[in-house]
Amino acid sequence: MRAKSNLIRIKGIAPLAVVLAFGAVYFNLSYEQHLKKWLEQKATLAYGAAVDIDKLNVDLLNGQAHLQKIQITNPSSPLKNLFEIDKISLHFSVKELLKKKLVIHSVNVSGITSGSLRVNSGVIDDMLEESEEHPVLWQKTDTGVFANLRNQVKQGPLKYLSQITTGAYTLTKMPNLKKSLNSLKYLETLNQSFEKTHRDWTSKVSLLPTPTQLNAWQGDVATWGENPREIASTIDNEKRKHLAIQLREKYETITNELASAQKELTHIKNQMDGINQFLAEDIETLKKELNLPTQANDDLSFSLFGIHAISFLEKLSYWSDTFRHHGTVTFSTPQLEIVRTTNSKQIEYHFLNKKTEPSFYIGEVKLISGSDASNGLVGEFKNFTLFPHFYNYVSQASVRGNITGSNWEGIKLEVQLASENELPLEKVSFSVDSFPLEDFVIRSTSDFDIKISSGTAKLGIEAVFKGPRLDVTGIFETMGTKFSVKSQFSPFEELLDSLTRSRTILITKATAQGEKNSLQLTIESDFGKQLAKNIHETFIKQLAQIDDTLKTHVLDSLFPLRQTINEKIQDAENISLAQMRSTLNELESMMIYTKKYDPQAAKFKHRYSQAEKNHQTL
Amino acid sequence: MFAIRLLYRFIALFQTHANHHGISLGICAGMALGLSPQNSLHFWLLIALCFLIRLNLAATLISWGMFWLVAMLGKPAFFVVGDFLLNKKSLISLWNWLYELPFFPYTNFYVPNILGQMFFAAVIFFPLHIFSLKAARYLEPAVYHWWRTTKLYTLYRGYKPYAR
Repeated sequence: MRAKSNLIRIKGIAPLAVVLAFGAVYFNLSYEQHLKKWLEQKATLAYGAAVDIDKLNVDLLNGQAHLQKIQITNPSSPLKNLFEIDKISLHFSVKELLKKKLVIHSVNVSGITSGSLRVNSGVIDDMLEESEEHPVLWQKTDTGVFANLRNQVKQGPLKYLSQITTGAYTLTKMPNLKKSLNSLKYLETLNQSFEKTHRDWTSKVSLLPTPTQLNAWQGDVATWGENPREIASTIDNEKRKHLAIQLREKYETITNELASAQKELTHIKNQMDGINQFLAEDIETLKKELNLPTQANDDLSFSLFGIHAISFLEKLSYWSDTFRHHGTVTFSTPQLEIVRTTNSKQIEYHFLNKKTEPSFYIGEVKLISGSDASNGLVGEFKNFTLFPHFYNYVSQASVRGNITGSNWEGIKLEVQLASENELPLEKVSFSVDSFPLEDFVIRSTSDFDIKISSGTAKLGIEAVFKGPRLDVTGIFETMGTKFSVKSQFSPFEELLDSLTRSRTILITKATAQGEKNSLQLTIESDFGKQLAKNIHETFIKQLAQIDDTLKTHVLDSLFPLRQTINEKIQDAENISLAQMRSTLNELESMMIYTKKYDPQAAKFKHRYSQAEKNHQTL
Repeated sequence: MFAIRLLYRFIALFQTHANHHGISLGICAGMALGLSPQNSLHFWLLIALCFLIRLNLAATLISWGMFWLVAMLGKPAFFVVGDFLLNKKSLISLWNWLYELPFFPYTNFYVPNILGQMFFAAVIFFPLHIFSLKAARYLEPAVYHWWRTTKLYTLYRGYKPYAR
């Protein structure tokens, strides 16, 4: 007993208690803030664009948490939210949390809206650097099935549409694309040709009389008044005649050069205006280089619809794969299993026990779009866990409701993720109580087709994925007649084909083909046609916006060279041509006195004046 | 004045229990701290214990730094040991029991290299205690003499009156 009392530092108990008390108070007051920040950071990093939570309340004693106003940025359009969720309420097990297990009994997600505007941009600065090392959710894909399709979409038009319209993408790509700009090449050629012209003018500067020469001539001419032609000697008059002819010839040469220079300048100015035609060509070239759509060749329905469909399938496939193959089993009995998992940081072991709860489990998630469940769609997810194969959980996802604004009623979509003999087994069932038909054709391999111009129908289909194969069975009912649908096909190849070739047809028409071509259904709907029309209109608007943005970027790229050429033109006008004009004026003022010695001088003055008049007119 | 007194008392803590037993326990506690990752529960329990048990904190600090380095350098070896233990069939029921205990999973014992470090710390605790007890007896006069010649000690002596 004595040894024990000696071992404990009695004086240390009080300070430790104080520190613990302070810690507890601080934790109680601020852990929600810290947890909120931590959640935002983790979600943002995993997702690849900003995820913001307005408020987080956690009641640890009762195992409840409430998150309010959650904004999930659209990575392709950072000023908009992909989703905004009004409220998420969680009910979790405190007992399991003490064992470092997250067992969530229920999650209620309400007030889901999409496409709302953000106050701040949702771009994260180091997103690209991060994404190279650890691909974010937005870029995560499975490795095989969608590889070709994904590459096509990556090359595809809409990938960079939002960045193009905001200018972010073009600015980074522009330096590489500058080389292919025809307008830039044109300006460079123009600049070179102007340089050559300017060099020619410079070489002809020797034609201009030097200031000394001019002064000497002016001095000579000034003395002529004191000694008029009548009283001057014959030798003097000969000299004067010689000077008069020399001045007239100089005048003639400079006038011709000035006219030629003015013509060159006018030509260059006209050529500068000719750049507009190259601008239009460059915009088309850039669109091609950036893989942007063109009205003539592309159908945006592929981009708008296909990219989202593929993105969704990729993520579903990725998560389905992760969900099933989470770690390696190192030990297994019917009651106990040890799984070795590897995450980005470390390797760890999980001890799975049938009698206890999994380390991560979500019992039920309920999603309600809009303000209440009666209006719009309701989604439900059940039984999500990290090791479903061991706990025999069958995960389910279902969506039901009505599409407001259309006549589609009683829609129900259910997805089940299970396994059979350790092979993935996904079941999808889809049913609609009532939907409109227009120009509906039932084609049969027998002698007749059935065409329904207007009516309603009911559909119920169940599809089972068995590896790469899809088995479809179901019932289609219209006008009091029931048709059974049975089909077997490889959906991925066919989907790829549909998305790359059929494009709009995928929206406006739905086609189902029965086994051995015994039955073919083709459905066209007003809803699909209207959707396609809206997509086309959006496409045209966005194309115009892209053209404007690209034009601005091209003009920005040309600005330094245009500025240089304009400065050179100004210099030519203000220095070289002005020098010629000034010399001509000087010569002209002398020729007033010398013209009596050379009668031809008058007509050259006329030429100079005519050239000036022409220049001013131009 | 209060802050200076508090600081003094904190520094004084490191001077206390400078007997051979206190120094030896301090080295062992530092070893356990150095081999425990900071995001684990037992690390913070050990910190609290260091202030509750009569041991020399200066020795703890020095030992902590040294064994932290050992933990860093010996990571692959600790991983092999931990992986072996986690896969040992005779121990599976123990791990399973610990996995389902409240609080214990927060020690992250199911991560191989952390378990390896914990195992190593447990194995060498008593041998290290005996070794450091003998080493303290042998080295204590020289270290004590060196500590008295340091500027930090002079500074500490200078502030001593304020601590009353």
